[in-house]
Amino acid sequence: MSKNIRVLRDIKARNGVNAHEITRRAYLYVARNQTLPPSVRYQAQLQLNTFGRYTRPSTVKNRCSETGRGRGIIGEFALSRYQFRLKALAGELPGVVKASW
Amino acid sequence: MYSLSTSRLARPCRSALAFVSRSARTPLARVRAQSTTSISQNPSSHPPPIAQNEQPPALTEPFFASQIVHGRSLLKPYHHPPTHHIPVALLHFRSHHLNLLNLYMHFAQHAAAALAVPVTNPASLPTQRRLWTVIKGPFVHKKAQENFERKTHKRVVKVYDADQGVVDKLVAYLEHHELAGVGLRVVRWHRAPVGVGALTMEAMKGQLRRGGAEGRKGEAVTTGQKVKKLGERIVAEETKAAKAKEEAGDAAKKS
Repeated sequence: MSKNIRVLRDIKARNGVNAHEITRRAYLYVARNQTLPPSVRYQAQLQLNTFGRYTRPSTVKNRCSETGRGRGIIGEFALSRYQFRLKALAGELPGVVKASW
Repeated sequence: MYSLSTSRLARPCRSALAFVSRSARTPLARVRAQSTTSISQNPSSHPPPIAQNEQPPALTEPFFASQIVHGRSLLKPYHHPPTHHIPVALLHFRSHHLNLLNLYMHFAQHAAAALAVPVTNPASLPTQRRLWTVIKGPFVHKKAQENFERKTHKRVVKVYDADQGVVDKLVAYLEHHELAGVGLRVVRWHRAPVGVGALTMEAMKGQLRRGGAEGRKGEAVTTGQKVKKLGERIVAEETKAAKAKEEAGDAAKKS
C-alpha cells in the first residue's frame, strides 16, 4: 500500500465524513427546509459553512490500494486499471478471467 | 439377503450389493433407515418387511437411496418423490466456476437422497456477467486494451415436505462439507399456527405503547431518526436565538 500524501488526505477525509455525517445532515435538513423561517435557515447555513473540508463527502475519492493512483480506478477491487490487469493475469482476483466471446 | 430388482432408475453396483448383503444380516440397518426418514408415514422409505419362510422381497429404489452406500455417487442421484408438495426451503448455489458448482450440486442431491428429503432437480438461474475493459499498459496506448470478465453461475434447488429438524441437518451437513468457491444461501419457510396475525398485531401495539422503534428510553436508533432529532434541536435553538436578537433590536429601536 503506497502511503503518498494524497492517500493520507483521502483517509483523513473519510474519517472526517464518518465522524460528522449526522450533524452535517441535521444542519442541511434545517437549511434546506422550506417551511422554516428564513432567519433560522440562514443561521443553519452559516453553521454549515464552519465545517472543514475534511467533513464534506465530495472530498472522498477512490484511490488504488497498491499504488495510490487517483485515476482509472475499478471500485470493486480498489485497484487502478494496470494493477487490476496484473493481478487478474496472475490469478489473484477470484473468478476474474480473460474474456473471450 | 434382499433380492435384486432391476429397476430402470438405477442398478446397484457390486459394492452396494455387498453392503446390502452385509447389513441384511444385522438388524441395525433397519433402525438406521427408520431414523433418517423425514415422514414416518412415507412407506416407500421403510425397508421392505421380511416374513418368515418366504422369498426375500425386492430391493426398492427409495429404500436403497436412503441407505449410505459406498460407491453410489458414481450413479445419478435419486430424487425422493414429494408426498405433499409443500415447499419448505430454497437452496441457492452460486459460483464463478462451473465444474465446482456441478460437483457440489451432485453432492447436495446425493445428501438429500441419503436423508430421504424430497428435492427438485437443480434449476439454472441466469448467469451474471461483469466485464472490464482495461488499457494494457500503465501509460497511454489507448488502442491496446484487454477484456476481463467474471461470470457468476447460479443454481436453485427446492426442498419439499421435510421436517424442520431434518432440513436443519441437511443444511448443517452441506455447510460442514462446503466446497471452496461455491456459496450457499438458504431460504426457509415454516408454517405458523392459525391466529398468528392477531398475535403479531398485539406485539406491534405493545411496542407502540412503549414508544415505538425508538425504544423505552425514547432514544433515536437509526441515522435518519438521529438526524431528525438533531435537526429539531437546532431549529429550537436557532428560533430562540433569532427571537432574542429581534427583541434586542426592538428594544434598541424604542430607546
